Amino acid sequence: MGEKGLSRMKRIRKRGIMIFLFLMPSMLLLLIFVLWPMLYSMVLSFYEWKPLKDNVFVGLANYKELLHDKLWWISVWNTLYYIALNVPLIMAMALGMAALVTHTKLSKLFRGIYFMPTMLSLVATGIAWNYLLGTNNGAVNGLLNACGLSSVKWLTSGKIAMVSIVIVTAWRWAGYYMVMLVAGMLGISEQYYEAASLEGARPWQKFWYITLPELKPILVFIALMSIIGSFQEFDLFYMITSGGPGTSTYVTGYYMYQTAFSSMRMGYASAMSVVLFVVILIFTLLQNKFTKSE
Amino acid sequence: MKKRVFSIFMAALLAVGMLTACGGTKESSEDPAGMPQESGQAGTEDTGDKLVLTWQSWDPVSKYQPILDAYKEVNPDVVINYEQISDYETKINTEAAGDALPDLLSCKVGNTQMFAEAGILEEIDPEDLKSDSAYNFNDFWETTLDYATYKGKMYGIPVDGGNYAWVYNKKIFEELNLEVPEEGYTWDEFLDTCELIVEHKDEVGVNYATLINDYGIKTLLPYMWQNGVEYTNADDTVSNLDDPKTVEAVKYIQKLVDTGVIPPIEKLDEGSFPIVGMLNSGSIAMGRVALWEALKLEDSETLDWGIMHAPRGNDGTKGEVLYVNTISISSTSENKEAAMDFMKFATSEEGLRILLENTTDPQIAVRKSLKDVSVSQFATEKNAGIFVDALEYCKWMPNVLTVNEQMDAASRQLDRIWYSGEDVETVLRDLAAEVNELLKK
Repeated sequence: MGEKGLSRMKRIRKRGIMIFLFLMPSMLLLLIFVLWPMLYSMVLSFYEWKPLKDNVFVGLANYKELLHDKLWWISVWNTLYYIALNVPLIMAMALGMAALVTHTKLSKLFRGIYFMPTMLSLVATGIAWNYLLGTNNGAVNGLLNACGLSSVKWLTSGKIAMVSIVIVTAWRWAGYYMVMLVAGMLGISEQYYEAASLEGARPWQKFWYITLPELKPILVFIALMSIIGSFQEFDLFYMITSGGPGTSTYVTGYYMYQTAFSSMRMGYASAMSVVLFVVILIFTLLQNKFTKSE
Repeated sequence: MKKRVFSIFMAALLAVGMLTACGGTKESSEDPAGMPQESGQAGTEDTGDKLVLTWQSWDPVSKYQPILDAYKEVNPDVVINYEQISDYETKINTEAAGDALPDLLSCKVGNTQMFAEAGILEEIDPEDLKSDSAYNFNDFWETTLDYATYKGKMYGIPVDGGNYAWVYNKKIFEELNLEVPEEGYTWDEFLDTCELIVEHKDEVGVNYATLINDYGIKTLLPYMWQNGVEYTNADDTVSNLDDPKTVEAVKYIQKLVDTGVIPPIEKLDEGSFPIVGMLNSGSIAMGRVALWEALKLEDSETLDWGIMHAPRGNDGTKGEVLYVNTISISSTSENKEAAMDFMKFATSEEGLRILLENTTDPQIAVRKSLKDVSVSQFATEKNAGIFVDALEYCKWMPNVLTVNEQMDAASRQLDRIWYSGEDVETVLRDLAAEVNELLKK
């Protein structure tokens, strides 16, 4: 190897050290506050947690219990039901709002207004919607009554409570995903639309044959992100229904919280989190695969 | 070259900065001079050689500041570092795992058994307290001591707490010539009264006679007790949730809804604040109000109100819920003697008098001698002494380890009755079976 080659190697090595040094702070943070707790909860899932005594190794007992835990399976089913309702609604609302605001005069103002719910604290959102959707004294029912309609048991009916939460979630997140879709729509070449106009295409045909196919990668990304987010959803359920009425809004995130912080069964809750982690990992891999191929 | 040196310097600075930031919290918790904002006593005080005790609780420091100040006056060499903690149980358990427990810790209902079982609390010998004549241990209400006891051992001393009584709208009651019985309405009388109010609702301007805020088991317990059935059997091994008397109690609540005297049961905010709001707006004529929230009604410019006993069973049996907060010493404290000294001061007649006279949210007096002090902030005609009289019959669930899980189970199962209209006997049988399994643990 010549002198040139040696100095090039040196440069590369020094550059590597520099990169490492710059990455180190964030890597350390990630290691301490993300990776370590993640790994520790995996370990904890094989133990019965006792704060002042030695943790008791229970092997796969927590996972076996999970298999036979009726409430766990109810919460899994409820989560899937929530995702089935929630994800298409969020996508439809985001797409609708994006289509409405992209080329309007007050586009930026509307974008800001629709994005606003995302900026609110989840706790404040939960409290506000609790008051809005109250059965006996809620504002929404007050409005319905004033229009001569009967009250709806938004949060006190096992059949409607999940729908109510879905409405709140869509209200909160649609604006967030709308921003991505607006960016995508602005990136579509005007030439496509001009050519379509020359061919006599109607507005919905332009939307169906140009806008939607062009937005496909973003829509796939949004769908997967919403699914992952829905699996992790906890705050709104905790604030609005506390899993009720009965078990109708018991989702995995809420049940995990109850097990860990109400029953103080950290080991068992960790087993739940590991299972949930595997499911979310699968969806993340799927997301990577789809977005990569697009 | 300069660029490279600068880059290395910046990277190193970032790393050091981050590590310093990570260590900051630890330092502030160890150094009382840099106390967090919600700490008691002067945050900028130089503690020097003073003995520092840490006391953690979920309540804001303002609640206990008068006691902290009074203790500081008589014990200038001891600094009490009070810390308000959110997500309390998790924090205490985590501190236990990390060998970082405070010297003193508050316990609310459900905490004593959880912390005692985990080995977090130091056992207290009641005989030591009894032998101190100045402390007058026998002055405590017997029922309040149960909250500090687990498996027959004492782990703390009661400090404060609260219970419920019924607030009624005097104007409405006068308009309808309704007399409030001295000992409270029996169930039948209560239903008759509610029906009479609803019959005249347009005249008196209410929507309903009252309402029931759904607190899960906390809603049901008073009615069970009033109907003469305990939550569990004598040795806390089997629940009485499927007892015919419990079924009767639930059906009585259902009857209140079915007859239209109360609206369908709904989960409002935790606490009785929504009921205070509805009483104030005149949409209900009476309601179950917690002691610590009742004083808010004093600000009302429109409502003339009084306090009455909770309804009682038709045979006169009374029952209501009582919450008691206790204070304990952690098992790992290195200053147990000093911690006990403070604990005795805080729960002495003098300490509790300071607390009760200065708090903005009235608390129940855990000592009999302070009976009148806890309600001294209420005007005499409100009859607030009922809150204290109720200590004769108020109580709570058994001090078993799975109490939180039982409460979760009750909320889940009772929803089936309140919100899905399922058969009462079937649901209570399911609930009893679930709770019995938990009691076995």
